[in-house]
This record gives sequence, C-alpha cells and structure tokens, in this order.
Amino acid sequence: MKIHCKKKSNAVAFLFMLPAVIAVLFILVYPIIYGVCMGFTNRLFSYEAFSFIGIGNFVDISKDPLFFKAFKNTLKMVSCLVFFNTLIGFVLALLLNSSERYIGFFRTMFFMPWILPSAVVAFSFRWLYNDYYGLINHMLLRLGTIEAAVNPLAVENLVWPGVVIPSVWFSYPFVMLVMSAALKSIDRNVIDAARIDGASAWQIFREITMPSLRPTLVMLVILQIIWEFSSFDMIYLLTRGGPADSTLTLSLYIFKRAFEYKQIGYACALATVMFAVLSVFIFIYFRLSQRGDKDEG
Amino acid sequence: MSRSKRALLAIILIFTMLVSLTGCSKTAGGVDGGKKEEVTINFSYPPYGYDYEKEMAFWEKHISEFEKANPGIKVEFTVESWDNVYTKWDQALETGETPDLGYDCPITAVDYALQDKVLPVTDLVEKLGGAKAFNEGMQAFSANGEWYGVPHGDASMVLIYRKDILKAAGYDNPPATWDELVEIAQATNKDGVSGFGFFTGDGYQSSQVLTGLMMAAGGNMIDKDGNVALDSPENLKALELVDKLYNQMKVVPESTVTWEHSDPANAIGLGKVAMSVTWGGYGTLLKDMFPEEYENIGFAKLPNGPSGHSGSWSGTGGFFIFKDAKHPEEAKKFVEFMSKPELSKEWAMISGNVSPFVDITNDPELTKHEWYRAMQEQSPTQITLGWGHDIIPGDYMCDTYFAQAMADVTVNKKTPQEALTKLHQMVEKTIQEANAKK
Repeated sequence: MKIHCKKKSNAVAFLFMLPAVIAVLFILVYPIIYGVCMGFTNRLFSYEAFSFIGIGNFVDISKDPLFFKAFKNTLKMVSCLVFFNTLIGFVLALLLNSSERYIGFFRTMFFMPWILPSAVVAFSFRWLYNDYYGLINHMLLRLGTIEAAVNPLAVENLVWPGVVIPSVWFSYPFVMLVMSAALKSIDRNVIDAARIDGASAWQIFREITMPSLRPTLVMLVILQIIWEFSSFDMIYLLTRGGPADSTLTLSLYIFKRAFEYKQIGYACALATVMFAVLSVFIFIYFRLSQRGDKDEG
Repeated sequence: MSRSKRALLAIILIFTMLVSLTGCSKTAGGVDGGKKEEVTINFSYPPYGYDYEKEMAFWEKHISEFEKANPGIKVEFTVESWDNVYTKWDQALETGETPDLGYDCPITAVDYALQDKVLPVTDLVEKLGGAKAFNEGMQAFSANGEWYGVPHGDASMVLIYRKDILKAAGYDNPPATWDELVEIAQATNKDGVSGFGFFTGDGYQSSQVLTGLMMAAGGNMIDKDGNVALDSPENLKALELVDKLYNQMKVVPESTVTWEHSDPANAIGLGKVAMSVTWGGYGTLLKDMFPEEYENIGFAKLPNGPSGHSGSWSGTGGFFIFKDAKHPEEAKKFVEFMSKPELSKEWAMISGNVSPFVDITNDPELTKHEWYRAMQEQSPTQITLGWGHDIIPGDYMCDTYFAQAMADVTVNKKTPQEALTKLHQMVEKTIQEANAKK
C-alpha cells in the first residue's frame, strides 16, 4: 500500500514537472544540440541547401587570425572588467558598510548605473566621447588638457579605456551589492571581540573580514568571468568591434559571422568553441558551489 | 500540504491552462457571427525618411485611408530598426513566418527573389505604367524579365557641403571632379575644419561610399559574363583616392571610423567638415537641425571620377511581397494604393526621396529644393551590389566585405591593392558558395 502510494505520488510529481522539463528541452537542450550540429555544415543564412562538411569549420577556426584576435580581445576585456568591477565594488561595499542613516542614500546612488538599460549607457557614453559635441572633449579642451578633440572610440590606443570605463560603470554595482550582503553576514561579535583584544582595523580586515568574504569573492569572480566572456551588448553598441577589429570579441565575431557574413555554419562552430571554453568555468563554478554547500552542511 | 492549499493550487493550475489554451486558439481574421472575414496584412518597414514624426504621420494617415477604402483589410505596420531588419527578415524566411510586405532597396528584393523567397510583381508594375513609367535607376528592381519590387522612393548618396567654408577658401562651387575634390579638401582643411568627411569604418555605410567611388572610377563588381571583376585598375583608383584623402593628405577626421547614420549631417551642420557624403534626404531635416546654418549648406551630385561620370549607392526604396505572404493579393492592393501619383509627391517631400515616377519627378514643387535636385541628378548613376551585371545570388552577402575593404585602407593601413585583392577573393568565394546552393 505504501509503495503504491509512493509510486502514485511520484507519478503526480512527474506530471507537474513535465511542462517545465519540456520547456527546458525545447528552449535550452534542442537549440544547443542543433547549434552544435550546424557547426559541422556549410549553412548560409536564408539559403535552404547545405551540406555536412565534417570538422571543416573547426579546421578553419584553427587557422582564422580573426578568431585568435577575438579570443585575445575577449580575455583582455574579461580581465579588465572582472578586475575593476571587483576592486571598485569591493571598496565601495567596505566604505558603505555602516549603519549610519545617510549611507542608504549613497548606497542607492552608487547602485543607480545597474538599473539603466545597457543601450542607454552605451549611447550616453558615445555621446560623451564625441569629438564634435561630446561633453568630455569640451571640458578637456576648456581646461587645456588636450589641444584637439579626440574620440577615444576611434583611436586604437584609447579605445580599450573607452570601452572599459562605461562597462565597469554599468557592472560594478552588482559586485557592490553582493559584497555588501556578504559583509553584513559576518558575525559582529567576532569583530567586536577582536577589537576588545586590541586588533587594529587592518588586522581585523586581514584575519576576519577577508577569510569570511573569500568564498563569495571567488564565486563572484567566476560568475563575472562567465558573464563578461559572453557579453555582447556594450561592445556592439560602443564600437562594433572597431577600430580595425581592435575591440572585436568572440561573441561579437560570432554575431558578425552569422548575421553580417551570413555564414551560419561557421558561426555555430565558433559558438561551439566558445561554449566549450565557458563550460570549463561553469564546471569550476559548480564544483565550488558544491564544496561550499558541503562546508555549510 | 493542507487540503485547502492543494485545492487552491489545482484551481490556479486549471485556470492557467484554460487561459493558455484560449490564447493559443485565437487566430486573426476569425469568423464572428455574420461579419465578413477580416484580413490583416503585415507590413515590415525600415524607416526610409529622416523626420520620424512626419514619416509616421504619413504612413498612419494613408494606411487609415486605405483601410476605410477597403473594409475587411487591416494593415499591421511595423517599423524596423536598420540595425536588425535584415537579421529579422532572414530569420522570418528561415521559419516561413514572414510579413506579407517588406520595403527596401533593389538588392534585397532581387536577391530574395533569386532564392525564390519573393513574389514577382510585374502585373502591378504594368498597372502603374510599366518600366517606362519609372526613372531609369528603378529598373534595378527587375531581374530576368520580371519585377520583384515596386519602386516607391528614389534615393542616392550625394555631396553635402558648407558653402561658406568653400567660399572662404576661394571656391564658389562644389567639386565637379575627383581632382577638384582633392584640391578643395586640401584648401579647406584648416582652423579646426576637416576638408572631407565620409564613413571610413567597417559599417555598411562605408560599403555604400566605396561602391559609389568604384562606379565613378569606372569599375564593376561583376562583369558581363557573371564573373567577379573587382580586382581591376578602375576599382583600385577608388581605394587609392580613399588612401590619399585619409592617410596621405589627412583631410578626413579620424573619428569617421565611428560615424553612423546622421553623423555626416551633424558634422556639416556644426561646420566641422567642409564636405561630406550622405543621403540627400537629410535636406528635409537640416533646416530644423541647424536653422541658422541651413542657408550655408549645399547639396550636389558627387564628383565625377576618372570614368567621366559620377557614382553613388542606391538607397531606393520599394515594396516587395514575400513568397510566404498570407495575403499577397491584399498586399498588392495596398501597394497600388500607396503608389498613387499624389501620394508619391507627398512622400517625396516627407521622406527626402525623389519620386520614382517619370511624370512626377520633375514637379516644380519638388525640384525647387536643392537636395532634391542633387539626388535627381545623381539618380542615373546610382548602383547596387552586383553592378555591371544583373543581380546574382550572393551579391547581397558581400556588403560587409566592401566595408572591410574601406577599413583595411583607412584604419588597418593596408595598401589599396592589398585591400582590393582581399575584397575580390572574399566576394568571389561568397558568390561561389551562394551559387552552389541555388
């Protein structure tokens, strides 16, 4: 009787789960498998006929200088963004870790960039950078800091700072928010006890705060790597990969191959390679998560 | 879980399913009581005008008039973004869920037609007067004896310039030849003003500028035998001109690699460049954008190249009907309605395009505007991808390579010959691949 009831209960549970499972299969699993399969073809967008070409696309990728340039640019972008987001977010979280009444106002102000759509941020910075009517050039010219207006998005030497600044401005609030929550979870009694024992602020930070925040920090870094690796909107809206492909990232390269060059097969092969690279980071993230759950248990 | 909570959950689930089923079963044009079945035409339109408010007012007004004159037909009008309209159409073609009507230049309509994705509209063009009713450049909407688009607005890139800056440098007229262009660009490149600005990045607008220069140089993209003919001395001259202006004389602002859409018009209005290349239709907008400077802004046909004639990209817009259209006959009715002569004249003024109809194009109300005259004069030398031959499969996909060639010379500092050789190879490969899938 008990076994029969359990089987019936499992069946009902499965029925309730079925719509979600079907949705995940169709929305997630099927497109991934289809995309990987397309990577083995010479499919062109809007042309129905195509053939299976084996690993031809992957061989071409291994010889494609633009792929390596895009990969290098992606690593560069990820390093810069993760470093600056974490640094700025962490420092602000420390500074705002207070229960003073006015702190709430500053916390809200520093969080504002994150609620803006990325398109608004990108177009605002494009306008600010403009050499004809942008505010930044206007101010620098008035101050005498520069002799002639320059659009950083048009100059290879300046384009990376030009891209990193708005990207960090847009992304650091999330890090700040997570670190603030992690700081609040540190037991105040431990810190108070350390103070009573004569520990300095630096000693408290080094011996109590940092060890407590380390798991959160590591997870944040891994998550940011995953997000920024596949990030597309900022680069596309700011520079479209220019000038001279100097800011071409992997996600943008995949987009260009698919929708500008119309080479769907090749784009899918590129996406498969990117998926393989990201899988490594996702695997690391899940292992760390599981380790974190075990430690808590 | 308590009994009452389980009951509540069951009710919510049943309600959700019922709502989903009702939503899924709803179809457009369903029969209701004794009413006639209503048909909805989906019209997908990337903006071909420059003043968004006036443009939208035009379409909304005349769509409303069409619907009143044709009870039972509704027009669902979707304004697309130029940044994603082609992606959207390509995706729609993949799924078979296309709009009924699209609107774009000849290369799009004919390339889709060559893939059997667009219906011929020869009968409609004949109704409107046939080929002889339209300006010469409008023939690009036809291929293999059939028309695949109904021309609606004739548009080209033209020269836009600051009369005051040229006059201050001793020039009363805009350049008529490439040599004059180089001379005037050099003479006006001073005191914070650049002599000549044009799209130099790897965006599609650069492709449009470069193809116009190649046409003016006397080059072709495809020869009469259907072979790629880009690597020619004539096309090389076009890239050499770009190299001369950008790299050697440095009369082109560095920031042009980031230019998009209205940047040339802004640069002219602000007096930051003496001359630029952009759509003549900006003439409808510049008076509002720069009212104090408008009298100093001039429009002219692009200078003649070594071939002795000018060359410009065709931004001509026309209606085309997707093969998977659910209501092609109703779509044709709508196109016929929108092609009426009085509407064509109104559209020309609002959109900043030349009327495609021979009978209307020289209307004094239109030709009194300098921007209109410039585009009218430019019209016979406008080209589209695949010029030199009828459009063939793959032409449409080569846009990016021309833009890349421009960026190769300007930003990547390749020699014109290197850039041209690469362009020729990439275009040849693409056309071979596309033709293999015919």
